[in-house]
Parts: sequence; structure tokens; C-alpha cells
Amino acid sequence: MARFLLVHFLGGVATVWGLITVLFLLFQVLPGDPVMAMIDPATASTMPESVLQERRREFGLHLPRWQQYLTYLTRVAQGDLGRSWETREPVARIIGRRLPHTIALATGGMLVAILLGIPTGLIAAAYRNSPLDYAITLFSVVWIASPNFWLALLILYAFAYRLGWFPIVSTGLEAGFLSMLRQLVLPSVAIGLRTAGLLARLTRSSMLEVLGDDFVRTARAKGLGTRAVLWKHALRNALIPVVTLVGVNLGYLLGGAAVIEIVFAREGLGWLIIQAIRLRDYPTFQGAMLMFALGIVLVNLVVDLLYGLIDPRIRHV
Amino acid sequence: MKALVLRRTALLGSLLTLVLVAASLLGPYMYRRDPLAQNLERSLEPPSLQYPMGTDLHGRDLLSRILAGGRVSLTVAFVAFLVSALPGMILGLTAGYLGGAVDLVLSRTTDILMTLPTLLLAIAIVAVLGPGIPNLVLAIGIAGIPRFVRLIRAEVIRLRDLDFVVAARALGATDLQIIRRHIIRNTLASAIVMGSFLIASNILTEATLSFLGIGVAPPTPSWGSMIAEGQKFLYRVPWVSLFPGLFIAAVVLGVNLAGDGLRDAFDPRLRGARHS
Repeated sequence: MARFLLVHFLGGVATVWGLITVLFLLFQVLPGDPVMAMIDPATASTMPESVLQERRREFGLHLPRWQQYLTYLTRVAQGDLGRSWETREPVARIIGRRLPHTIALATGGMLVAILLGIPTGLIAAAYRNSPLDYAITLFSVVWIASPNFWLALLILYAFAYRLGWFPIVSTGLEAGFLSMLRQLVLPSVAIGLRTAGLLARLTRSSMLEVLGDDFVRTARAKGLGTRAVLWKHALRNALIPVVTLVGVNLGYLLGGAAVIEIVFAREGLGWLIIQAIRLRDYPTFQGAMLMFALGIVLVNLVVDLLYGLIDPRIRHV
Repeated sequence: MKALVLRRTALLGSLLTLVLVAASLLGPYMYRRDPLAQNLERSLEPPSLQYPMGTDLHGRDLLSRILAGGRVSLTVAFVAFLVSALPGMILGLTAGYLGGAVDLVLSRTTDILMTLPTLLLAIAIVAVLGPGIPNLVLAIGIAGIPRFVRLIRAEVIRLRDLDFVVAARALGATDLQIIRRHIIRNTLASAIVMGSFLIASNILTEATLSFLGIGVAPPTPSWGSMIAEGQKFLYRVPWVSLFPGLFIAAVVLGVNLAGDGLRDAFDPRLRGARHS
């Protein structure tokens, strides 16, 4: 187990290093001066050359590329993500403030996806080719095909405006825990429905596949009841691909947070990224992007470990 | 029974796609109303005989805007797919066929890029490239390259040592001949299937970027930016956001179902298996 942990941890570190490099290169390889690109063209001509020079220096853009890369790498490793061009606040501090909102949203979305997706998938498999199965399948493919921000607007309209069950705008973390939870419901549903659809479909097909396997027949043959076969033998094996999909989709949920946070006016990381692009706030953008990448790598690491717990065969590879 | 249901949904999906693509491409010639013409006296009207889907804030006819927007959205999604497919095929072929250090570098890079969701990758590239439809296409296209590389590489590795390729080599075929005659042709089926799913996801990515205001810019209509415009008066006139979203969902659903059908047709072994 220790070796399994170590290998995965080192893999994660290597991926993070790779991502930092890719993010660095992205701004190097693509044409144009990043400082100019981030300045509003309308004011670029009026901006004194000394300010441009200062900003280039801030990014070390006057240094040779390899030196820029090493400086960037060391700074990131020390947790220094630079200062926002907009507010002059350290980017790391801004991210620290925004992060809880995004983590809450992604967790909420995942909960919705798991609680809705896996049970409906199991029901669809248990009653396969029944009207219930078709209805579940239909809803699943519709969730998968719908843009999440559009679903978010429909959900807002129906449940916040028409029915008034939930608040329309979020009021932040100050309003207390319960009200925070209440504000989290609609965004979580909006962001989680697509993954719920994917999980339902995968759970269904995975369950059907496993039920046809030899070990299920063996379990039946040795006299186990239907319930024991279904819940003890089939489910555990059917869930292995489902866990992978959950992990893959946590990354998707984090990405989707960018849009959903804007629809629901939640001051999270996704909103920060879009805001930074609009304001041409280069350091904030790069830092937030890196944070997302880090989060996804961390999630993948945890999923790999979970995978080892569910399926002991993997631990020894 | 199951195969029949599958085939029926695949047919339905293809039909849905075909109708919506035809409506977007031909619609503007048949439903001749200027999507940019404003009529401020008829602002935010509900659907009626005169305006089948109502009007937007500037009194522009929503149906004609949706048709014109479909043209933009679908074109962006398709061209972006081509942008992913060509380099993706070439890099995937190179990595899979050559193996060794080249493969190691290419597939590690692919793995790293694929940890980022396509949407975030596209957002990052658009942020660096700047606004405009060509940049949007490029960003969505580049963001899709890693998925192609991974697929084609896996296919090539599977094919590389199959008997017919070994036989061709024994008969004196050069690498280039083998790649051209045997490898590429046998990867096409899965590339097409992958392509259909990629186009569906491109439609969603384009809509999201345009919704966020970093994709197709007004006054050019696109489904995503139309939903964003409607968001401002969501509680008064919800259909302004509702209709473009319905079109997105319908076309993505259609393409996904058609893609499922294509995959089953090309490779019956995968019948019933799900894409993620």
C-alpha cells in the first residue's frame, strides 16, 4: 500500500509540474506580447512606455526565457502567485478567499450527481426495457445534452422566481450556515445534472454487464438470494467504472463552476477567472487557472486511492 | 429487441441533427427575415403568429436570430473539430507508430493537458489569443487536440502489430505505405465516432464561451450569447433564453445519439457501451 501511495503521489507531483510548464508555455508560444495583450487596446497607445516596461519587469519578461521559467517555477513553489493588476492584492490571498465557494459548489454538484445518478441507474438496470427504464434514459440523455448554464436559468426561473423555494441571488458566507446551504441547492443541481445523467447511464450499462458475468452465476448457483447477489456481488463490481467517471467528472464540475458561479452570482474561483479575463488581470488569471489545475490533480489522486480501496487487485500493480 | 431500439434512437438522432443543420443552413433563405433588423416598438414580445418565437430587447425576430445563430454555432463547432482532427491524427499516428521517446513525450503531454477540462483549456487559450470568431475556433480546436491524439495513438498501437500489417511489411511495404494504406484507413471509423462526440461537446463549449462573453460577440447572433441576452429579463420574458437553449440541447442530443449509432455500426463489439 505504501508503494502504491508513493507512486501515485509522485505521479501527481509530476503532473502539477507539467501543468505549470504548460501554463507557462501557453503564454510564451502564442504570438504577441502578453503585457500588450492584457492591456485594453484603447488605452495601450496612451500608456507611457515606462509603465509597460515596469509590467514586463514584474513578469521578468526582460529576462531570457529559461530564466523566466525558473523564476516562475520557484515563485509558484513558494506559493507566490504575484499580485493582481487590478487591486494589487496578492493573488494567493484572493484565491484563498474565493476557493471555499467553488469547493462547496463542486461538492454539492457531485452529491447531486451521485445521489441522483447512481440510484436511477440501478433502477433502470433492475427494470430494464420497462417504461421506467426508458423514462430514466430519456431524462439522462437530456441532462447530458443541455448546456448547464441554460439549465441553471430554467431552474432559477422555476424554483427561485416562480415557486420561491430558494433565494434568487446568493448573499455570501456571512448569512449563516443554513442559509448558505439553502443557497447552494440550486447551483448544485444545475451543475450536477449532467454528471447525474452520465452516471445513470454508466451505472445501468455497467450493472447489466456485471449481471451477465460468471461470478454472478456462481453466486446464484451456490444458492445466494437475489438480494445478496445484487447488492454484495454485482454492485461492488459494477461501481468500479462508476468511481472512475465520478473522478473524471469532478474535473468537469470544477470547470463548469466558471459558468454556474456567474449565473448564480457566487464569488468563486470560476467567476474570478472570467472576471480576470475581462479586466485583463494577467497574474490573477494565471494563478486561478493554476489553482484549478492543482485541484483537479488532487482530486484525481484521491480517486486513484479510492479505486485501490474498492478494487484490491489494483493496489499491487 | 435491444439492437432494434438502439438503431431506432440512432436514426432519430441523425434525423434530428439533419433537420436542425438544414434549418440553420437553409433556414435564412426560406424564412427571410433580417436577424439584425431592429424594431424598438415590438421589444420583448411573446411568441405570436408574426413572431413565432417572440422578439428580443431590440425587437429583433428571435426565430431568424436562432437560425442565423445556429449557422454560426454549428460552423464554429465543425471547423473547430477539423482543427482538432488534423494535428490530432498526425500527432497520434506519430506517437503510436514511432513509439519510444517521441511517444513518451507526446503521450505525457497529452495526459497532462487532459487533466484540464476542455472548457478551461479553451478559456485559457481564448484569453491569450483574444476575441473574434477565428480565435474562438482555434481555441476550441486546440483544446480538442489531446483527445484525438490519445484515441488515434491507442488505435495505431493496436493495429501496428496485427497480422495484416506484419504481412504488408514482410512484402516490402515502406512505413509510409503501411501508414497510408493500412493504418489510417483502419483508424478512420473511430476517428469519425470521436469526431461526432467532439462536435457535440464543441457546440456546448462554444455556447458556454459566448454566454460568458468571450466567444462570438454581438451583434452576430450565436446560441450562447442569445441566452446571455435573455438572462437580463429572465423573469419577465423567459422564452428569450429558453428557445436558443432548446436548440442547443436538441442538436447536441441528436449528434450524441447519431454518434452512438455510428459507433455501434462500425464496431458491434462496443454495442451498448457508453462514452463518458
